[in-house]
Amino acid sequence: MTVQPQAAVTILEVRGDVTMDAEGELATAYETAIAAGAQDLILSLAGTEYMSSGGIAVITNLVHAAQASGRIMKISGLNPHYQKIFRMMGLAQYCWDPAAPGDYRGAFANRKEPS
Amino acid sequence: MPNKQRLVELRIPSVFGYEKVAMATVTAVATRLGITGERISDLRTAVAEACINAIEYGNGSVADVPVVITMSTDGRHLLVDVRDRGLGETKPRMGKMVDIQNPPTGPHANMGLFLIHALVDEVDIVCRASGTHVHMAMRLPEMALH
Repeated sequence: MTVQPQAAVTILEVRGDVTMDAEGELATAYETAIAAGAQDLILSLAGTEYMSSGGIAVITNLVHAAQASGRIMKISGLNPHYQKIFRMMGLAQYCWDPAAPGDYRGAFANRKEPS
Repeated sequence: MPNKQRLVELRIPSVFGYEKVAMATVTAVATRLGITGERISDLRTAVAEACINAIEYGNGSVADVPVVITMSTDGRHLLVDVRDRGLGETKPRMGKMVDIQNPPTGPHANMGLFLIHALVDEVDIVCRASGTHVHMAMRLPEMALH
């Protein structure tokens, strides 16, 4: 797991399987990013070939934690099979695939700025 | 009903991670029977989820209690049967789509059964005191039928 601050967007780049065993490492990476001032986050799963339902639950909890703290986390880099699974599970709205590699500007276009 | 031909029987310990052995084996068997592409991915995921449920709920993660995976064909389908010993929960509940405002609370939140039902052509789950049997069937492509 690596954390890459990229302008206003922080990318959490996952490598390897995502199962419920990933919970601790993902939570640590998320908390590290938040402590470093992250606001908008991308969870990149391009390096993941296997994800279990337990792993999806871990990711869902992470997205919810970000949302509950006023942040936005988008999931990116899913292969076509997991894109389908995320759609089936009603999670498509939390996914984002950049038009150009590494261009995450559009992922947060609908952010509501504080008035 | 055509005769059922048993192809492969696999026993894995009740340890998370071994579901990937079942995934690899079912991939090889499905490929041999002409199943390709996304259909294999669907079957792999369904088998992994059935194994995870068997490891955790069926066998209580007791390592030396095996999960038994049987792959067979009736000539029209690849049939995959995942059996546990019923040491734990024997009445699985099916999850549903995820509500992000009320995210899953358990380790799997019953999402595994949701996926199994959604990804394979037929599912039958039999719960007995001796264990849970998850029967999954994937239709073979027309050109593979004979």
